[in-house]
Amino acid sequence: MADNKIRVALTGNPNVGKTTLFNVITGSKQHVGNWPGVTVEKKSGFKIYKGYEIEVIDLPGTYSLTAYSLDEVVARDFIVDEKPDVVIQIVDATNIERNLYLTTQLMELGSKMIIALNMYDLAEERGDKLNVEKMKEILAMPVVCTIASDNVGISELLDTVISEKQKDDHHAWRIGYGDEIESKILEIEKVLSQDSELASKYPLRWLAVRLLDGDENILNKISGSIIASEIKNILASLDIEEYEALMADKRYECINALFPQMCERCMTRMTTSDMIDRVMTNKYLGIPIFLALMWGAFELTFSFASPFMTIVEKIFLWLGEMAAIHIHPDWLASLLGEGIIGGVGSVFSFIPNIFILFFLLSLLEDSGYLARAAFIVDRIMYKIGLQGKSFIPMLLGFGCNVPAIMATRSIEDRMDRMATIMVLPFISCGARLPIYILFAGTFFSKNAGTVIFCIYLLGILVAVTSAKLLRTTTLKGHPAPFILELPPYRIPTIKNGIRHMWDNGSMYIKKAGTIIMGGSVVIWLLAALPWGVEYGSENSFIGIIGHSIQPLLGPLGFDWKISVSLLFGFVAKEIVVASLGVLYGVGDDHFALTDSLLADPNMHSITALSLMVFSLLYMPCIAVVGIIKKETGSWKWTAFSIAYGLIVAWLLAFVVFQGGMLLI
Amino acid sequence: MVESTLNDLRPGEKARIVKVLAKGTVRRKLMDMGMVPGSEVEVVRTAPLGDPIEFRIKGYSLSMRKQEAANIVVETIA
Amino acid sequence: MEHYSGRLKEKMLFASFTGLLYVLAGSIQLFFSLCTMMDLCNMSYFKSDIADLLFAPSDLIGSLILLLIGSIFIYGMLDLRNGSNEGIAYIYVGILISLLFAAVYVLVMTGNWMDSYLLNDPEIKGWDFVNDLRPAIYLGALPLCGYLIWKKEFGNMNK
Ligand SMILES: Nc1nc2c(ncn2[C@@H]2O[C@H](COP(=O)(O)OP(=O)(O)O)[C@@H](O)[C@H]2O)c(=O)[nH]1
Ligand SMILES: [Mg+2]
Repeated sequence: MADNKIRVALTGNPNVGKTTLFNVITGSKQHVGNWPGVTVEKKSGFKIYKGYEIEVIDLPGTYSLTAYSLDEVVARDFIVDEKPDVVIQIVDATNIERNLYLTTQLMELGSKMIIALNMYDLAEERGDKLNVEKMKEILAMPVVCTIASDNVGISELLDTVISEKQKDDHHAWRIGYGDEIESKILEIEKVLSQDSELASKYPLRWLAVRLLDGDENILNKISGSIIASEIKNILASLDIEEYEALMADKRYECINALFPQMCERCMTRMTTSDMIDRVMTNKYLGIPIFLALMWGAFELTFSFASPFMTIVEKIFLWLGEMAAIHIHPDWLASLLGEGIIGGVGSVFSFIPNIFILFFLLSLLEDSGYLARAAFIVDRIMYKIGLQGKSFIPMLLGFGCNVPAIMATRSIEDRMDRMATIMVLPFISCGARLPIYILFAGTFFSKNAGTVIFCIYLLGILVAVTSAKLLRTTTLKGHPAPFILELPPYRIPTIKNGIRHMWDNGSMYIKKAGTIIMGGSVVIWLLAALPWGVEYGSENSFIGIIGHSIQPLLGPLGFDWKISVSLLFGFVAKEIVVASLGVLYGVGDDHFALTDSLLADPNMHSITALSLMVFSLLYMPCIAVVGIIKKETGSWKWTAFSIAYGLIVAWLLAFVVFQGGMLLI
Repeated sequence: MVESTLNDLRPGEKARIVKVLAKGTVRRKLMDMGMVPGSEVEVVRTAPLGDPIEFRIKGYSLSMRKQEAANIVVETIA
Repeated sequence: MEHYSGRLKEKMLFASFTGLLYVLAGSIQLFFSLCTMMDLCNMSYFKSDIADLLFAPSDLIGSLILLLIGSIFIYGMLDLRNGSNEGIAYIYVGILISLLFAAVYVLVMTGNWMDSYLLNDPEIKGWDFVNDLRPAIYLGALPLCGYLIWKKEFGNMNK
């Protein structure tokens, strides 16, 4: 049985086409989850090929296996602990030299390896002359040319996987580190071999090399062993930093010596990518272009999505009506129609935004512009205590804070990451948009767009100020170093965009959907109980709660209805609108709600403004709280995030409302 | 041949790395990215706001802040 | 890069013409949108059907984008005139970005059209093609021509 099952791990540098290859191989048979214990995404999938069941695991993209970041630890541990049958390293054919650095490290892990020489089309187009046969010979492992984006070379790759699996032995080529280091490696290896358990689990040479490389992660791994102290003694007698440099040197030296044989004519001329960059990062034009592109993405996400949102809303409205007509008794119809269908509706009405946003982000990322964005804004982000890489999560935050906070994983430094997570909830996510649309649309009809834009700006401003504040207090210190590859510009593919959009969209439904729906049912129950009370009236539970917190919010201009809906905005911000609909007794009907709001003497434009400011800032929704807890691993930080948001929101809304009243 | 640090070079200038002074993870990261003694580096450009700097090394583009670049000792070549 | 120089004049002409048109349209629109926004001047005085039709008076960001695109082209033209072939890059990117924004506006227009026609949304009942017509859309025809003419050349730039 085990014979026709093959486990294949995909590794490689970032941006070499790993995900593309993974998608091409597994098609739709894939599963996205997390690596156990850590918050790095794990993608695995299956492929039935020539009677074999091939399991493919997409490891995080890394430049090396030196355990600099969580991604690297995950990738490495998978290969050494889980021992996949075959490891495929995807190598960017246009950047072989640096890619081979990872190869030199992978080889030491002692698994069967295949090189997939991807982006072969780009290398050829550039005029490179790659000697694949020579490469196979030198590296002593199969090399398969692929063009993942065009589905070229995939079956050959899979054939190679099968034949590798059947081979008993595997390649023996390895880097020689020179006499001095080699003698140390041998010495350590000898000590390590005394622990037979260790010896059966890991390749000893690799362990020795890692230890000489000053790898703390490996030190921890062997700390339980009987030989731990002996190893520590040996290491203590050496200048590890020196060794580290020497070994990195050796690896590159080796590559330098071999590389010219593999690639006879590799181009390093001014390419299209350089030309584009000249403009995109131009001293004067770079920033305006950046802002314009961001604005364009923003405009599309929100304007182009609107008809789709309307369609979804209409469908759910119709479903609700159907429920009201066909279901008896009335309370059940109401629970289904207003509570559940309304709740599901508010989850889904929101999908178009999220889908378009992730589609555009994927285009930006695949085109290579996102890295330039980090390059361009790093100076500013650094000034406010964050770094260029924080920008991408912040941008994602405009769609939904949940994936945004997950995206902070690309920030290696923990302090940088914490600071980014803490300020992210101030970035106005799409879920808050329905609130702005309702109130800006109702009270500022002519200037609704401008008002909403200003609210977004305010969110950014608060985030920036908070970052600065955090950096001078709790998270004192400078942001971590910024060392970022700027990948060449490429024409992004629609297919990738759609997949990215689908993955993230469905994640949103799963993560946020259940909570939002649950919230809608709770709101319905609170509004309908105690038994017999008029739905959503002042005597219902909801009215009672609203009245009791209203004094706190009175100075901001909010009456009990608003207080209630804000309370339920804790569950998910878009529920604010849904619950106002319930409270005004108009259900899902947007236009009736607009009319009711305009007719309400308590509501005027200043209240609306104050309310928008408050909803922008007051606290992350439950889904975000959950993800903050998960990503920071600390209840203290989670509580801090909630409390800080509430305080800032109250203060600013107070200023807006009282200031506005004075001006009128 | 003049020795200086990488942040002092102007766009278009080329240099060979002599020594990496950084410590700890920064050092490791720099090595992983190919910033090892002997490698050739070319300064491509600075970001619109003057920092970070983009370098070309081993045929690809790498960017880093001036403060990181200041830890890399180089000798300029023609 | 030698083979570019033969058609350099053509490109300079194209860049300056396109650039100036964008800058012109951008400035006019900027003026109108500032007026509308701040009520600085009596709009009815300036208000003509033409301005309304061509410049969507209250689109401040749109006007800034037009100015940006215009400056990219002009930047490229100046670079070419100074004998630097890098100017080509600016023209290339200028074309890309202007087409990108034309596409953005067309998509937004499609969205609004769908809203009103497909769904009979009473809110924007009076949707009219003209309401959403932005300078970025019709001016986009020019860079589109440029793109079609020099497509091959741009594609070959990495050789
Ligand atoms: N021309 C070309 N582009 C490719 C190839 N493989 C992937 N790409 C593109 O390279 C970009 C990065 O690919 P991706 O799979 O996201 O890389 P990852 O970061 O390693 O997962 C995408 O825009 C792909 O469409 C290839 O073989 N040829
Ligand atoms: Mg990927």
